[in-house]
Amino acid sequence: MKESNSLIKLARDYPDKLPHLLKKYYKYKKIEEINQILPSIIVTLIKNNKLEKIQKILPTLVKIVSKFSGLQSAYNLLSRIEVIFGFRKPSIGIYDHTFHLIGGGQKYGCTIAYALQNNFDITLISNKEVTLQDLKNWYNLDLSNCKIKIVKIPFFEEKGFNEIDPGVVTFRIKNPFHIISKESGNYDIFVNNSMLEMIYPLSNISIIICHFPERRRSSYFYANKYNHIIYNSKYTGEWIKKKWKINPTKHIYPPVDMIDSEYMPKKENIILSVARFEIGGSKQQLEMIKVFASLKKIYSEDLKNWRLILTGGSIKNNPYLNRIRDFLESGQNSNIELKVNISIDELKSLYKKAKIFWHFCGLNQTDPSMIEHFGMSIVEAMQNWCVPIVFNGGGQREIVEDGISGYRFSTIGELKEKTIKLVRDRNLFRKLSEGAFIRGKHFTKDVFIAEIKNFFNQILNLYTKM
Amino acid sequence: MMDTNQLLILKEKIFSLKEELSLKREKIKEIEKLIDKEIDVKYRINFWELTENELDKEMGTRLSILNEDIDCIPSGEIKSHRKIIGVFIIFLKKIIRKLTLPYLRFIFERQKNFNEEIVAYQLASFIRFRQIEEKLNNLKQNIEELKEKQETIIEAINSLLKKNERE
Repeated sequence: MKESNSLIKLARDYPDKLPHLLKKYYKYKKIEEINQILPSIIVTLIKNNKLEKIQKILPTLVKIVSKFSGLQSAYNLLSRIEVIFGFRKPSIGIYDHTFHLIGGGQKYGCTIAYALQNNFDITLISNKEVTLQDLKNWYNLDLSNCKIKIVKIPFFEEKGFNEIDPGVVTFRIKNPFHIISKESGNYDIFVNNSMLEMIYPLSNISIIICHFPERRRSSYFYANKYNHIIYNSKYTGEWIKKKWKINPTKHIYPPVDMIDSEYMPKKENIILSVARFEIGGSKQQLEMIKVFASLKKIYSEDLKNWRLILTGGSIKNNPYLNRIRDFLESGQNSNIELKVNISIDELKSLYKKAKIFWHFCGLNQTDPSMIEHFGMSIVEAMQNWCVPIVFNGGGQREIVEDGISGYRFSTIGELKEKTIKLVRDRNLFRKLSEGAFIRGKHFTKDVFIAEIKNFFNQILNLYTKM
Repeated sequence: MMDTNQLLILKEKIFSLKEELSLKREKIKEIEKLIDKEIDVKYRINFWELTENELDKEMGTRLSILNEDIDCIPSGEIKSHRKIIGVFIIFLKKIIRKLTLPYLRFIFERQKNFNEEIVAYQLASFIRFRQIEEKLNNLKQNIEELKEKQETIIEAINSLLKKNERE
């Protein structure tokens, strides 16, 4: 580029003339193009001139950038120069409006922080109170090199919302998330782990992590302003294209860390389901009970000693859970157990003991958001030698290879048939159990950390090399 | 090339420049002003692309927006962004509003009544639509249950037949 050459030449040989020409280019050329070459110009200026000269020219250049491209551009330029010359570590701000709650998405963000905390200066940005100790307890991740910053959003505080609900924000009100947009400008890299597309990124590098695009392009949609979109499954990737009309850039499966033994533990005749008891019943535990009861009726001999255990988290006074309880009390369901909000140790022990893992999420659903986007509990089960039988849709297709590391089903009839096959055939169970364990290793924390480190190193290289 | 001392001085210089910018940045609330460009784009929704849940949500949101906008009689505060002649402009606008409102009120009242009726009609249709949907869902569930019973009966018959064959 002609402008780039002449500006760099001036920065090297005639720095006094640089402000004048920069002003001229800003007036007549595209601002974005000039901004792209600015770091190279400043680096050339610093590397080829005496300190006194730099001290004189640099503030003038910063003023010009501020005037023509906004204060944030000038700030970002200086931030990048600091990192290029090694004056400080590059900084990352990871934002999640649900950091104070336990969840798979939040674990994803925390594991990114864990993977990068030694090479980057990391701040976890939350809207509600949460401590590093909380995160350590929930995800078993030592984040002692990270900081936490609480940025309250006045709109939600004033209205007394218990949780941050982006769904209530329409074009009729001022974007309440601009306080976070402004915060994003304090870091070299801003990672939006909330898939909250209403945050406009101001940092030099911006990344949005999407676990599923819940909203479409509407008011305050800025997902297309991010440099990178990381997505958790190919299923999510397809829906990002459909709903947001943009191509996601990097696919990284979530970290799942439930491997206890390299050998198959002693198994019992248990069909296990681990899924949150959603109020709307999207995980379909009631359907599982009906199917199990029906199977027991038909194949009473085969399933004589088998139990169905349904476990998962639930809020208090959950109407769906009450329906399940009522249903269980009404019939003869002695071999069905309900375990709500159990400890992690109890959950691990159930994974170890269970032979089969059922997951129905997505069955009879037409809404893509109601189909499992990935399915962390399926991988947890596989890492414990359970054979998964899962609904053939969403992210579940990417985890379970039908007939190799478990089974997938599209109808209840198919599910029953595959379950009975497994119950009857010990050799088949052993084969699929081994397949499941091997497949489960593709989604471990170590694999995730290696991918994250590699991705961020590439980004950092581009950021620091001219 | 600079020595370590000089690099330290440069580091300090950059830091102080950033501090200066930070202070200025604090005072600016609008993102547009910080980056000196417009950020908001109006996206049109293609309703044919939406899922059932999304359409449901859209219907609810749009209906509540219509409800908020029923009253179209001008009542908001009169403002002007001009610093010096702003007071005069506000004064003028107030006079114009006072003079014209009695004549316009009749039209606005009719419009308001029309809006009320439209919103009420939409709400009634929405409720009716929901009731039909509920009936349809119940029917679907009944069919599913019947299918399941049918399946169980067929499987039971088959296993009995196999048992008989073996005997």
